[in-house]
Amino acid sequence: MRAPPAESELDWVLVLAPFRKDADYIAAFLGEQKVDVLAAKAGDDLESHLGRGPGIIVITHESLTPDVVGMIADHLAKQPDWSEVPVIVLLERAAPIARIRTQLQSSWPGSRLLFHIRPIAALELVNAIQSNLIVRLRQRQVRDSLDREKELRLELNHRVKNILASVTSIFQMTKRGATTVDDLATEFSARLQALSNVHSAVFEAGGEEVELSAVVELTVSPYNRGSVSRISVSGPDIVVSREAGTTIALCLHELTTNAIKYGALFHPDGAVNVNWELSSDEDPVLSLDWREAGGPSVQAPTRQGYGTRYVRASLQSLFGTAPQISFERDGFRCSASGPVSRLSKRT
Amino acid sequence: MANNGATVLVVEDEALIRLAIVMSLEDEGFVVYEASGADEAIEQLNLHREIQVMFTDIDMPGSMDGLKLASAVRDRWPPVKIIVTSGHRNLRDDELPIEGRFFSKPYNHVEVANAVTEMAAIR
Repeated sequence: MRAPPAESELDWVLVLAPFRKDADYIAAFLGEQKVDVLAAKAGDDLESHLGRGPGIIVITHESLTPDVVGMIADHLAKQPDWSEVPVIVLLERAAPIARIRTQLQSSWPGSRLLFHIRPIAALELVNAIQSNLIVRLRQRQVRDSLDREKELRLELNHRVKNILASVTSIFQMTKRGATTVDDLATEFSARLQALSNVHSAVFEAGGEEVELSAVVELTVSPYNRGSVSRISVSGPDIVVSREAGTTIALCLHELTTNAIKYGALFHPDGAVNVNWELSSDEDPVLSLDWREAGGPSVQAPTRQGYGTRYVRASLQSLFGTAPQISFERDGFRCSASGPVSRLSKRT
Repeated sequence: MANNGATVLVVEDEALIRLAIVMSLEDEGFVVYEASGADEAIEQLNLHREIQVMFTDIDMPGSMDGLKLASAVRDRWPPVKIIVTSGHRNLRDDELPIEGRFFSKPYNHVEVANAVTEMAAIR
């Protein structure tokens, strides 16, 4: 069973009963049940009462003048889709209920009408009001989830646009570096695959963050098939944001590609060591290190390709300081470090 | 060089997107400086007085977005021509708070390069 809702979550009740003692009577026993009530007096500005948004309207037979019915009709018509204000009508025993019902249903189309005969037992009215306050509560939960859905749709739109912008950029860069259409196709799909893999890993981890080891693993695992481990990976468990995970995955993809073309993975017995560490400072520093060994003798390229430039620029943005990239004779090396808080921060 | 080495500053927080337009503009013969945010952009403008055109994204984290940056640059470096871009908003040139051009993302690199050439030629 659900816990009863907290009082503050409940709506208030507008009582329209021009005979003073009726309104006071209803207000008094609803008040005893801790239901918020506003009893409108004759001559009150009904429009401003309605403007404050009552959750339920209780109206007596003699209040149903054309003016009042018209004002309530305007108010009900203005309600948003999620809202259906219950109207409890208190009729005299001798009243022509069928005719009144037909009239009100045509004045207030689609309204949630409930009829009771006066004199009404206090318990009966309290029950009617309380169960309708719960109805209102549910309606507001629907409103909240509609709002949330709208928010999510906007967020989704932002993300799709960001991804399309990234893909456009990846295509521009790949096109720039490719000499043949086949190269372009192969390199472009490999980069998209890297982007897609990290997207899946983040999604599987709940959508907002991901284990660094999962990001590294999915990028390097294709090179560690069978018994041969070309890329060894080590580091403590660290969770990074979606953006940081994506950047690191794309960087590792570029580093791996370069290692295959010119570096350690070009030779059958070359190897790469990927390692990360966390300092024990108050604001811990993460150091990420990519170190190659056993490849052809390394020479610094005369012209920096897209891959290296991307790694440099994106790691600088991510870590806050430029990475150290060195073309040492015995192996290429790339290290970056910065406060781990920058990588776990959601933007 | 086709563009007589006109000097451009590219301001964009997404490294991938920044690099793509920077490299395209370099290919077109421009001298390109980069910044990943408004603070860095101001540093670059202080450092390189020869910058003629600033191409900036609107949607950037931090206290100063691209539109605020554009207004600041208009005040402090009036000769610098300004181009702004956004993936989330679609503005007309005359809706900008400053005199300049607007491109929605993703933009065509050739069109951006043409706009830079045109704007750098105006004195």
